Amino acid sequence: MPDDHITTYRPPCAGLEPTEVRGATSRREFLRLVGAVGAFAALPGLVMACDSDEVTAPLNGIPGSGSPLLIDFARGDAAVLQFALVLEHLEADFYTRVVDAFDSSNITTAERAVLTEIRNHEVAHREFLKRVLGTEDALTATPTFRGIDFADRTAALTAAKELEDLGVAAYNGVVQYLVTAENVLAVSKIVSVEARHAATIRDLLSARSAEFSPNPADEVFRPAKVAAMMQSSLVDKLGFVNSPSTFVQGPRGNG
Amino acid sequence: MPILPPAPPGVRVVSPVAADAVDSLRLALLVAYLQSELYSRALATAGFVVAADATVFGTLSAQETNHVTSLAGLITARLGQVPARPTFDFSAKGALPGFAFAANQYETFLMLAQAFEDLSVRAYKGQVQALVADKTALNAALAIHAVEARHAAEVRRIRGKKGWVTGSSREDLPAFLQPVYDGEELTAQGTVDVVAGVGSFGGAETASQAFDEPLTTAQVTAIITPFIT
Repeated sequence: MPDDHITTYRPPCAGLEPTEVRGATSRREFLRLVGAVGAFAALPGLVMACDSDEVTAPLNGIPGSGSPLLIDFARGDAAVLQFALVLEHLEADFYTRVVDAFDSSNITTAERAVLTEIRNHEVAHREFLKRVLGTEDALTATPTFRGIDFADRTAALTAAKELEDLGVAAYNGVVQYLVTAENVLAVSKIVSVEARHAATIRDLLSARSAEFSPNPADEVFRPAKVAAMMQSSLVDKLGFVNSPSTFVQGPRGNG
Repeated sequence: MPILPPAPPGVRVVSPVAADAVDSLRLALLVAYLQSELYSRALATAGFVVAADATVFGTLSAQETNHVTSLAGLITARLGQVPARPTFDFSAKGALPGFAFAANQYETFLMLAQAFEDLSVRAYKGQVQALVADKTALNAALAIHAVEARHAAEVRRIRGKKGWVTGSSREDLPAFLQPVYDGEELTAQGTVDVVAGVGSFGGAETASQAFDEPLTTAQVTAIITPFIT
C-alpha cells in the first residue's frame, strides 16, 4: 500500500495568522491555507481556533438559513430541470470538495482517479442543465456539508453513496412531470450515469458484494421527499410552488 | 373534463398509446430474457463462476429474473401477449466459436455480461419516450433502467474497466459487439455543446461519459438476433 493510503496530513489551522485567513480571496485559496475542509469536522478544537462566520459560512453554512430557493412547478419542464439543477449543484460541489481534499485524505490513488472523473461528470450535468435552462432560469444553490470529513475515505465515500442513490431516486421520480419527450430522454441519459456512479461508489466501499444493486428495481421518489432529503445539504431554503398534486409510485411503492 | 362514453359491450378499446407501451415492454422483456438466461446458465454450470464473483452474479441473476417477471406482469396488465422465452445461442451463431460456459471460457462470459448490461441500459433508454403516457410503466422502466446501469458498472469494474462508457469504446470486446457502443460518443446534447460546458474538467472524454445514449428497437433487435437460435 502506498503511504498516502494511511498517512493523513492535517495542517494546523490555529497556526494561521488571522490576517492570512481573512486575506483568502476564494474558497480554493482558503483551502490552500487551511489544508482541507475536512480538517474542521475531524478536529473540533481547530474549528474553535479558527471559526468565524466570515470564513466558514461560504463552506458549511447552516442548512435552510439562506434565502428561499423556489421552484414553481406551474412552469412545467423548466421546473423539473431546475429541480435537477439543484441536485447537480449539490453533487458537483460535493465531489469538488472530495477532490480538493485529496492532499490531506486517505483515499487511494486509484480511487482518486475514479472520484475525479465522477466530479467531472457532475460538472458536465450541471453545465448542461444551466445551458438548457438559460441565464434566466439557471438557478444557483449554496450547498453545505456539515459534519462530513472529506479527508476521511469512509466518510467521503459513505456520503457519496447516499448522494448518488438520492440522485437516482430523484431523477426517476421527477421524469413523470416532464411534458416534452426530448426532455424525458435527456434526463434518462443522465440518470443511468448517476446509477453507474452509485454502483461504483458502493463497489469501492464493499467490493464484489451484493451492495452495488440493493434492489431489483431502483427507487422512485417524489420531489417533495427528495427536497426534504436535500435540505440538510442546502443553505438555501428549498421550496416548491404549485407542487404537483399527484405522484405515480414506482415499483417499490415507497416514494 | 370530458368523460368518454363507455365502450359498447364486447368491444375492447385499446388505445395506440397502450399498444406503444406494450411494444416497449416486449422489447425490454427480450433483453431481460437474454440477460437472465446468460446468468442462469453460468450459475447452473458447477464451478464456472469464480468464487470471488459468485455473490455478484448471484445478485445479477436474481435481479434479471425479477425483471422478467415484472415485465411480463406489466404486459399482461395491459392486455398484451407475453412473448415466449427464445432459445439462446451464446456463441452468437459462431461469432464466439465454441463458447459453451466451459472452464476456460470465463473471460468470454464476462465480456458477454458487460455487453448485455451496457446494451440493456441503452435499450430501456430508447423506450422511455414511448412510455410517457403510461406513468406506471414509465416508472417501472426507469427503475429497471437504473438497475441495469448499476449492473453494467459492476460488471465493468470486475473486468477492470471504468464503470462508464468512454466515447464509443467497446474496450476489449470482440468487434461484432461494436454496435452496442456505436453512438455513445456524443459530446453535444441537443443544442448544448457539453465539451464547452466542462472545459478543463476532462473535455470530450467527460462529455461522452456523462451521458448514456439510447438505442432504437431496431438496433437492439439487430444486436440480439445472432444470440437467438
